[in-house]
Amino acid sequence: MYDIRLKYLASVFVDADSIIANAENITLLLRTLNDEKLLPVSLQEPSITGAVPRIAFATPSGERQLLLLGKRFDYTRLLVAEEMEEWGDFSIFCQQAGEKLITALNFFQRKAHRLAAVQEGLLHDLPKEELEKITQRLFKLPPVFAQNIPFEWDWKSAAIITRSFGNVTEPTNTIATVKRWTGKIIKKDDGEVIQSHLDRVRVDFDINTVADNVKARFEESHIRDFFKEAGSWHGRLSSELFAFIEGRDANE
Amino acid sequence: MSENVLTSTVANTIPTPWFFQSFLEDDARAEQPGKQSRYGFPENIFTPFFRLEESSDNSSFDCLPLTGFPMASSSPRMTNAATTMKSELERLELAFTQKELEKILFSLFENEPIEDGYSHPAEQIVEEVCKKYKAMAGALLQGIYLKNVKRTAFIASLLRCIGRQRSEKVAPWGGVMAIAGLSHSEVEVRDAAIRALESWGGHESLWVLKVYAEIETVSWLKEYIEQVVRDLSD
Repeated sequence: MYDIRLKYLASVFVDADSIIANAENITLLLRTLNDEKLLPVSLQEPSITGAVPRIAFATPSGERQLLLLGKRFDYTRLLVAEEMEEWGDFSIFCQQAGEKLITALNFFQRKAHRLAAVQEGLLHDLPKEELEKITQRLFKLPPVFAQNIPFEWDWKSAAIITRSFGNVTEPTNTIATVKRWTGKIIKKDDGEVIQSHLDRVRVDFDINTVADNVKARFEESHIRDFFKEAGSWHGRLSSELFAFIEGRDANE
Repeated sequence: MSENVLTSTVANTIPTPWFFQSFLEDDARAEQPGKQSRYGFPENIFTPFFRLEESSDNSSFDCLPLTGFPMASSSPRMTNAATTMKSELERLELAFTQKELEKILFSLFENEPIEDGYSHPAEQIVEEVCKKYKAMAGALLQGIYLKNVKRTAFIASLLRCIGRQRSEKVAPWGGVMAIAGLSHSEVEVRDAAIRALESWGGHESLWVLKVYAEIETVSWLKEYIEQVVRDLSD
């Protein structure tokens, strides 16, 4: 179970290179989104030919962002303050994100060719012994590391799972990434830099339709249903993985 | 920072070829702005409350802000990545610059309100910022605007100062800030945004004002927008 959520992300991949970040598009989309907390902000996306102005909207704190980039539209919820509004359930985020992304796609009359739902977070602060147990659960280590338990590691599993949403069936990448993170938390408080040690397990989940099929094929109903289902797909994946990490039965 | 960490952060500054993307095609974040070291994009564009600095080179993230994107430096910041020394220095410099700039602007607006027909010392500051920081000037000033979005008088003054700059100096972010200003709940900010668009003129300003002339609910402001639309149309 997450202690600190870092990010919720919902993305649609789309050919949007030709979208111009002009006043007309920004003004009309702002009105169409009808979200009084999202403000237009200017954004330059690096590209091979130089920086390209893109359309973006964000809440004043940056907690929620909608970025319309050349190849993807991202709706994100980010950790930006120690005290934030309740994050809420990932499935609720996904459904809200789906509507925002559909609005942006419809506005520019685009169809997506790939959909993704991602969440990232940190587990509770665990004692060193527990962190080592997690290491041993996740890895079959060679002697050098079995005898000297690593203080940092990356574990990633990606599998293709066929899923149905809307009236389509698509192969989806189902990815879990677990890392033991050793490092520093650097906070800036009124100009004063405060550092503290961090040694935690980070867990990310990413479910997305495969990249190979670049045909712009997802209709509004497909996108809505993908993001409606994404919450429960993530729920099942995360409860299984958290149980595995913690060494307990997933049904407990 | 240990030697191997320094080595790794330096290594991260070396541009990695685009074809590296294919190795991570399963990962939907692979093409997201954020994999700075591999894809030339930053992870987070805002500046969350803490920065998490990994002490090894196994991170593929970086957190150099997207050019021209607002950096709410005084709001807490978090990134989840090892950062290059260069980007770290740039960010810190910019963060402190934003804080200092905000203080200066506050003090100037407090000492002397902006009046029609008179230049204001803050205009020169904004001009200097545009000259010195170029594309990042938008990030600085938008960051200050967003952070102070509830301080009506301050952001109205800021918008008026930006509106007094030549349009090409503040493009494209100035126009975006004006559009944000037009959506503000306080009439003072909307008025400042209209003045900025009026001063810049041009097709885009005219187009935006036409849209807002239709939805403005305060009668005197609506009349003012309509007047500006007529003037700009001539």
